[in-house]
Amino acid sequence: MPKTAIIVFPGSNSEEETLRAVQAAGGKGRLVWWFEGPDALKGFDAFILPGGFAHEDRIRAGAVAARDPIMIAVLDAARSGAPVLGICNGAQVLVEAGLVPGTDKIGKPQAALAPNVQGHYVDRYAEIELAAPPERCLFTRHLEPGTRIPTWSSHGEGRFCFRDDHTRRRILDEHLVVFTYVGGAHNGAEFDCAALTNPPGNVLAIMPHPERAGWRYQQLERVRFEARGDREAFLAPCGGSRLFALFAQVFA
Amino acid sequence: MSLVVASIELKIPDNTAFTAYDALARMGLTAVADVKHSEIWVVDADALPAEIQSALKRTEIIFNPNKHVLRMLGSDHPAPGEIWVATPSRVHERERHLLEQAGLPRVRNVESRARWLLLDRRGDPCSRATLERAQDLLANPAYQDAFIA
Repeated sequence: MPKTAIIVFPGSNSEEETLRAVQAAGGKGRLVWWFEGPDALKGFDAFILPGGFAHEDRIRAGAVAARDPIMIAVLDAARSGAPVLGICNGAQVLVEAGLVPGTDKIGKPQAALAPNVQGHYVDRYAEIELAAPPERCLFTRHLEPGTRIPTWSSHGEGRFCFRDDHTRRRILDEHLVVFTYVGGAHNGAEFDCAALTNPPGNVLAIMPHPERAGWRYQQLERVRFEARGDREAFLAPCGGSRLFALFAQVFA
Repeated sequence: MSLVVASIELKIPDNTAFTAYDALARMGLTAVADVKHSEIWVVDADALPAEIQSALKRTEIIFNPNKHVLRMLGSDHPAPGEIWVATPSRVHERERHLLEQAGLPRVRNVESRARWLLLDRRGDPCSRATLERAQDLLANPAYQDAFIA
């Protein structure tokens, strides 16, 4: 099992849920605060950037955290092939750092998570579907093609858009869009993109929250209803927790 | 018919400007000694400039008199030391509607930009080379346009 660092920036707000999801999947991990610096990440095998509003989304969501000194260690680890997962605000940080789609020099963003097409914050259930070949990304290689995972989408700046046609062509040719929104992107994301990987497939930026749909009691009513009368099943991990189980199996 | 360019900035401490200053310093831009930040509103309406200014001041989601100062600008282009960042996909339909509610008869167009002014230790505008490096933080070219004088 990889030892996972969950990196907390000032304004992160999903770190505890993310740690809980990692632990429920059998993984080991701890919260690492940004002020501990890059050296604090020595000894970790995998890295998660959780959701929230790092630095209050000042300037642009993820822009300041992407340039935090602790990200130097994350960039180095990503370059050497370590698994890196960014969820929601964590995805925004990875995009701003240029780690995904990673089709140009790291540090130069080739994509953005722009404001939603609605022009405001949106919070809703969103099912996502595996859109790339499972082996394309380190985290999805044990999934069946077309696998669907329930998530909760909760963001104001979640619309994946890409710098130019050259970047778009590479994203399509190299199948870097790993998950798409079932029924189309509610936020206007290009290619209905819900999650994007880098060419080596070890970094995944996912916009909706799988950790908020990781237990049956967090699912839609029809799914919760399936466990009626069964307290154990009601409290059991399901749905989004699958992504964390895959994350914990990366080194298997 | 008038085209008004107004700058709305905080008169209370601006945490966003300080965060930008801190992040630029961490990026090695030590020539930047101060950062000022404001929102530029470009309003095209069938009204006199003073009427547009008055409507802006009555539109609470744009201007809060407890914390903002409104200045009219003579140009819709950045001055030396400034970076203006536009987000072309951002729609201002709500603001257009509210400005009409505030008394403007016909608002043709409303646009906004983020305006960043970078100053050196002497209080002079930073060089173009510094501004070009600062653009890496202040604008994402995948969905924003940055303008320098």
